[in-house]
Parts: sequence; structure tokens; C-alpha cells
Amino acid sequence: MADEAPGDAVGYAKDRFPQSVFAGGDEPDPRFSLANERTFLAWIRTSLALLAGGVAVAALHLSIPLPFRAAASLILVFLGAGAATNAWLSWANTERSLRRGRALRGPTFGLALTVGILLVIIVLLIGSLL
Amino acid sequence: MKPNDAGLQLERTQLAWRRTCLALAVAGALAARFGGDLVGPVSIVFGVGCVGAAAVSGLLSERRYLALHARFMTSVVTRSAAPHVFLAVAALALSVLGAAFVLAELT
Repeated sequence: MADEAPGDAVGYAKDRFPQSVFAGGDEPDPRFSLANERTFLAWIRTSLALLAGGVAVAALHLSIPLPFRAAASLILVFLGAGAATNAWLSWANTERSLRRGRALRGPTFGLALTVGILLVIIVLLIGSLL
Repeated sequence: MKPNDAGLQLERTQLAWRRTCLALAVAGALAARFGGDLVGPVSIVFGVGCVGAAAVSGLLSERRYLALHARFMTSVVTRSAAPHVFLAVAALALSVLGAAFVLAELT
């Protein structure tokens, strides 16, 4: 892995995965690629945390009516699935933009995450007051 | 001579890989150990699969780290994003399992 000379980067790109990301553009500053990678990993951990939260709301015997617990935990689990998907898609989009010198896409999933977590808070709050 | 790993970018990235793979392995192990009661044997398959994906991704990232460490700033950083796919797919699979658990627990 990574045992090519810098000048080989273009020919070398042909056997890199995924081609949809690496087929074009130039090698970005390695620090940017590594930062993109850390962002990917942070999203994976976010996904695991959301999933753990959803499972916990379902598994713990909270004094919250069932429909509220079900709604909150399903939202959390779906957000977890979304975060895992977003981890990969936004890694690929960012790496592609870095290679082509284009502007980065905004954090689109961030809005869904914010709205979803707000919903969970509201649902749990209302449920615990009933 | 360029500074070797200025800002410890590579080190930080490798530490992120380690804690992410560790978190995934723990989550997979928990799913395999405790998911069976409610969701069924499929959670053992999913859980063990997640532990395996975490192990493979961790080993691949360690291998790259060792290869790049001596020559940072002069080489291609991402040879293949396969470890990324393993982690993302495993986390997604775990989410599906979590949804099954939630449905089983609450119905």
C-alpha cells in the first residue's frame, strides 16, 4: 500500500477503490485526505452512538408510554442508519471535491440529525410528563 | 526534508481508526451476546460480522499506518477505501439489527 513514487499517481489511480472517487483529479494535500478520513470515522462513531441510544430507549424500562418510547427509539435507530450511510457518501463527495479543487458540499445530513434529535427530545419530554 | 508527520495528522487519523474499530467491535460483540434473545440468531451473525469488519478494517489501517509513517507527505494517502466500506456497511447492518431489536422489544 502506498508504495508508488509521487509521479506514478495518475497511472496508479487505475487500481484504486472506489474509481468514482479516484478516477479523476489530482492527489490532494495528504492532510486534507486524512482530515476527511477522520470525519468519516467520526460519523461512524456517531452512528454507533445513535444506535446505542435507540436500543437503550427501547430496552430500559422507562416510565414513558410505549408509543413515545417506540417513536423515540425508532427515530434514533433511523438516524444511526442515516449517519452510517452519510459517513460513506460524504467521505466520497469530499474526497472527490478535494481531488478536483471544487467547493465542498455542505453537511446535508446535519440538518436531519439536528431535527431528529430535537424530535427525540420533544417526544421523550412529552412522554415523561404524561 | 519535510517534517515527518507535521501536526501528527497520520497519528491522529490512526487513533481515530483504532477507537472507531474498537467501538464497532464492542457494539458487534454486544449484539452477538445479547441480541439473540429478542431478535434471534441473525443477531449473532450480524454481531460476529461487525467484529470481523472491525478487525479487518483495523488491521488494514494499521498496515497503512506503518507503511506511511516513515514517508508521510510524499505519498498517496488512500490506496483503497475498502476499510471505509467495511465500517460503514457494518454500522449500517448494526442499525438494521437495532431496528429489529427495537421493534421486537416494543411490540
